[in-house]
Amino acid sequence: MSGFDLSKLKSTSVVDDAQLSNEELALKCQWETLSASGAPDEFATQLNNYLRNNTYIVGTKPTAADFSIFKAIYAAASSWVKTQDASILAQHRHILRWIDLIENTILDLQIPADQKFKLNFDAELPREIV
Amino acid sequence: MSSLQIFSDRGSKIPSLVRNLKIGIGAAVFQPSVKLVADTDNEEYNLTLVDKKSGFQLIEANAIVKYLAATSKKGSKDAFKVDPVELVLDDILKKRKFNDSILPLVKPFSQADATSIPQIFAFATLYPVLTKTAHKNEGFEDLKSWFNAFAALPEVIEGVKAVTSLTHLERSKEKN
Repeated sequence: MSGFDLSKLKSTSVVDDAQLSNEELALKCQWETLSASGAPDEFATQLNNYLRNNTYIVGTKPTAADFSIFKAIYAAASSWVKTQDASILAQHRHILRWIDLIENTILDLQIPADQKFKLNFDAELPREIV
Repeated sequence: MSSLQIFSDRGSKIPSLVRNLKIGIGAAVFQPSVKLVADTDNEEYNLTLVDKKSGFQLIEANAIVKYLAATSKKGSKDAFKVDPVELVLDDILKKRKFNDSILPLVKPFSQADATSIPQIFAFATLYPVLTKTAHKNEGFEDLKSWFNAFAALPEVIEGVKAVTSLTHLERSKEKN
């Protein structure tokens, strides 16, 4: 995963704010605010817990928040993957699953295939205790 | 009766007070039937809004206030618009620097309005600085005047009262 220019990515194929419910707009607001809160470890833990039961940032629809949070957390996620440490990967497993989804759906045509995350889905991770 | 419940941030530092003030005032203004309470059964210290009917949850103060506003009787999705002052206020909270240096960053509002979300956020963020008894208002008389007018609004009095009874700040050590 070599570094491509995140600033050149454009948010496409996302659901417009006008089509979101109050609950979805509140979730979008929440995660955008938390991503800029200056507490990256706490944010990663909260986001990972949330994505355990949710496909996208507002639940079931891709929105501009998936795009902005993808950009905000990409560098940290790259460092987790580079470690290949099972405990670190396990700790962020839901974020990594979500990054893989975003890369291969709403950002699919914008990131060269050789620069996408190479997640090893066969890696043995400790069982998740909820 | 509302199916919403709001649990306060049980931390003992200033950012917890600021977050609690936002949601305490937000609830008093937009949904007075929803009371801020401390969830002492839970090990988590973070604030939470829960809809008992749907299970919907929020854990961030700005989003909670906007959701309470949007779902209030006169509410609309406009509540979710971001005012530029919010970014300044979020940055103050992020840096956790609650002293006079933050005062020039916030321009006074022309009129105190409890239904203004930026004013609720500004009041909560400035509260730890502007309520210090030793505070001198030199150069910030307009800001203090707006702050005092906002503090005197009935919903704000109620919100602040609920929060101060739930938030117990750790006293910081005196510096020599």
